[in-house]
Amino acid sequence: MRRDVSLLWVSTPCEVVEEILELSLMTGHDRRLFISYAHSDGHVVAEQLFAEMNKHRFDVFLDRFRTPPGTDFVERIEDELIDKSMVVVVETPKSVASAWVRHEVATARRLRLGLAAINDGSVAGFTGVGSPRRYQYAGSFSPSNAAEFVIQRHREAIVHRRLTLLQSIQREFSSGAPSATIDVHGDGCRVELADAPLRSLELGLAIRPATIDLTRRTDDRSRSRPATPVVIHARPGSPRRRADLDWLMAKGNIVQVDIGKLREFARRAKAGTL
Amino acid sequence: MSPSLLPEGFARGHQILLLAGSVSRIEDTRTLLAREEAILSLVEAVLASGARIAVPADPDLALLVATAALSYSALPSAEPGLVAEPAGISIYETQGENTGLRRMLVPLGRLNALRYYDEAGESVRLDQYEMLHAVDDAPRETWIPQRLTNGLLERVNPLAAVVVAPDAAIVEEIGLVSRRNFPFAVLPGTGDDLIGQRYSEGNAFNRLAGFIRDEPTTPFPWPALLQELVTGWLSGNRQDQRM
Repeated sequence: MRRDVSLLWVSTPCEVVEEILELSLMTGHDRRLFISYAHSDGHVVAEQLFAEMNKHRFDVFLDRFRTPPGTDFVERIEDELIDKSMVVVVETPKSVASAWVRHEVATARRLRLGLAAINDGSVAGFTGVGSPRRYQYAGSFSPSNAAEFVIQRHREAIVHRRLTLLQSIQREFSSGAPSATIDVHGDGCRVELADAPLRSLELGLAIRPATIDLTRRTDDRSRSRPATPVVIHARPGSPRRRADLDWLMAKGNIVQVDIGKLREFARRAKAGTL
Repeated sequence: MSPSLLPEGFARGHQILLLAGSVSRIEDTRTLLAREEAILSLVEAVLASGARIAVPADPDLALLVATAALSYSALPSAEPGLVAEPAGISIYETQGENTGLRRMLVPLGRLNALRYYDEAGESVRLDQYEMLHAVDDAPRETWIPQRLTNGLLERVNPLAAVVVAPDAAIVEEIGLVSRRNFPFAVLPGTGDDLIGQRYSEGNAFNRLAGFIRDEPTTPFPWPALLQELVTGWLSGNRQDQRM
């Protein structure tokens, strides 16, 4: 049975970061890790990391079955990464020369996933990864040290990205009338507006495209404590996925807000014109 | 959510110029994440409003923003003669043809995520290029960023500019932007803040930097801040334009 816990902050969402992190890591959705590598020169490291991350209770997906890029390969990359929380790329001469892997790194960044690279020093890595996210080793590969590095980057990315979005919500609702009370929980927050036409909003927050699971939980919460259900998320890149989500939200009478229209949403909510 | 609070179509035709310093000069995860979040939040704020983003042909930046633009791209039309409007990313070459980048962007071009222009300002059809499967045969300059020039500024005529992750390598470009008569923002907390502080007139740096002083331990609320900034620019609010 899923726990439904609410957390209240006084002045800034930072006060509840650790609790949010613990709650989110319990859901399992944030423990799905994707290892991107080129089979011909990266499989040994990838498989050792796979075994080590499994020991740390991550669901690990190895990119074993890659087929040659076709016209739809960008959509296929989104399909393989959209339900993951972290991508680890094994940087080898073959992988850094692969357009597929380069697009995987770009997609991981666009979906705001955690990102880390494992590099043995024999090749310059992907530009967009950056040295703070690169585990560089010389000589023998230590899966346990690499796993420790990956877990640290994973936590930092999740906390940073969620806080960024929560801070944005707080900024938009805490300025101007009507005044708002924000109650944070694992999936997002509940906003109570004083003396406003729409008094209660149940916000499901996703830093990447919303899942069906988040949508359902937001809807459940809005029914158990009456509120207008809202899902704020980054829209999927695939038109097919966008159409699916549009249909789902419309069926559930859930307000869907693109993360790029957060400010407009807050203004409309305060004015009662969602 | 629709319609917009601002008049429909108010942003059409406006371009925001985006420049970014290199990831390779960033040495801590916090700044790296801030750089990435600022770029993504800007793309989302601008494209959601209906305006466009212009970037020089910096391969890392171009690939990231074009990938982010997929969320705002229309499906290519299956009917002959009907052409879907590409998402609002324009990538401009300034230092000759970058074949490797063009080939890398082919799949995103096919999904209507971007427009691509050569140094002379001519539109380039990316579907004429073979998709890049490997970069082994690409020239070394493929991944070297091309720089902002006065000529590009003339062509783009941006409404405003945003500089993410300022560093020594793009000081000249920031100088070019600051000498123009449009507002710009060098984003603090994403690179070398000493560079951002050098510019005052027209720069939103100081107001944004207030958040670092007020909330030194928390990440910036980039989505909210950049939506505020972009909306101010697009709606012609001079107060927001010149901070």
